Amino acid sequence: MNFKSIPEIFQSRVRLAIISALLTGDKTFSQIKGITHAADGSLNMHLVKLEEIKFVSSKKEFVDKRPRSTYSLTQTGKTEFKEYVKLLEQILKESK
Amino acid sequence: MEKDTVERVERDIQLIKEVIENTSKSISELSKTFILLGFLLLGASIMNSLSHLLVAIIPETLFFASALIFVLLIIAGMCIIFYKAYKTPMMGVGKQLVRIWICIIIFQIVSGILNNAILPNIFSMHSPDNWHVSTSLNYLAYAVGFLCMGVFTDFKISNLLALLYVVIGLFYILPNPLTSVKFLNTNPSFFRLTEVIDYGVSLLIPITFLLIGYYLKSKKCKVSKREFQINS
Repeated sequence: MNFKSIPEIFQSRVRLAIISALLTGDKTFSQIKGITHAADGSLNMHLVKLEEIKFVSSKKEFVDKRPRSTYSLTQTGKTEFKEYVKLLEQILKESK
Repeated sequence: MEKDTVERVERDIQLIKEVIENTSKSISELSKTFILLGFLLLGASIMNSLSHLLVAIIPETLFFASALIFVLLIIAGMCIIFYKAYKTPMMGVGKQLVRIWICIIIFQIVSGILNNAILPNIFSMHSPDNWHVSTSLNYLAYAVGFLCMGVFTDFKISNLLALLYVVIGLFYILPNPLTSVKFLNTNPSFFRLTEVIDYGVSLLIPITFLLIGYYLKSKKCKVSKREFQINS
């Protein structure tokens, strides 16, 4: 087994960090930015990608007349991530 | 197995662990707030219980001076907690719950001042009904706080606590012999029983806060391990 067998979506560390962050609860764009330290454009691109494959859902609202997007992990995202973590463990076990 | 693959897997696992750990701090901070509030309220309850004994022993002015210092310490403690909660970079549900609890505690303080100082001293309103209604509202406010916690998190124990506080709230507001006799009945044994219930319930609040705090603290440690079994 090699790393290429890992789903493409998890091959980005930013996306990995986004999903890990959303595991512990919903986060706003700025909170995710604070966690991942990614640039706005790059972060937006990854979030859009995660939304497209239904791993993440977003809610847009106005707070104090400012737009705010809150992201949450979908059940699909959670299930796939669990599978991914199992895969990582499996790779590690096989390496020992 | 390629060495690069293993290294990358290890890096990914490390990243997942770190992000979960950092974002779980929100729950950890919430637990600290509950524990601090619990200890403050425990001190207030003990002081309140002792005050009935102390007032008979020590001079009235000294008693009121010490009580005032204690109240100021409680207020200072609350301010520190609120300031820390405001400044802590908490996220999501944790932050919202701290806000809800801050509102509940402010409501309790305002209600206490209104019923113990303003209504009797300024408006000369000494009705036992006021005491019953305000006590009941205080407990129902706690019930709302715990219900919110139960709804927004998966802490099932919170819903049970909400139910318990609804029962206590109703106990104080609905007519029953154990609360109404406190003001109407002069039978000393009845009076003592109601006093014991009042002290018991007043001690229940800080104990509840401490239990919730330590429960959340232990819950935080279990999140990553239980859900994803990252053992490496």
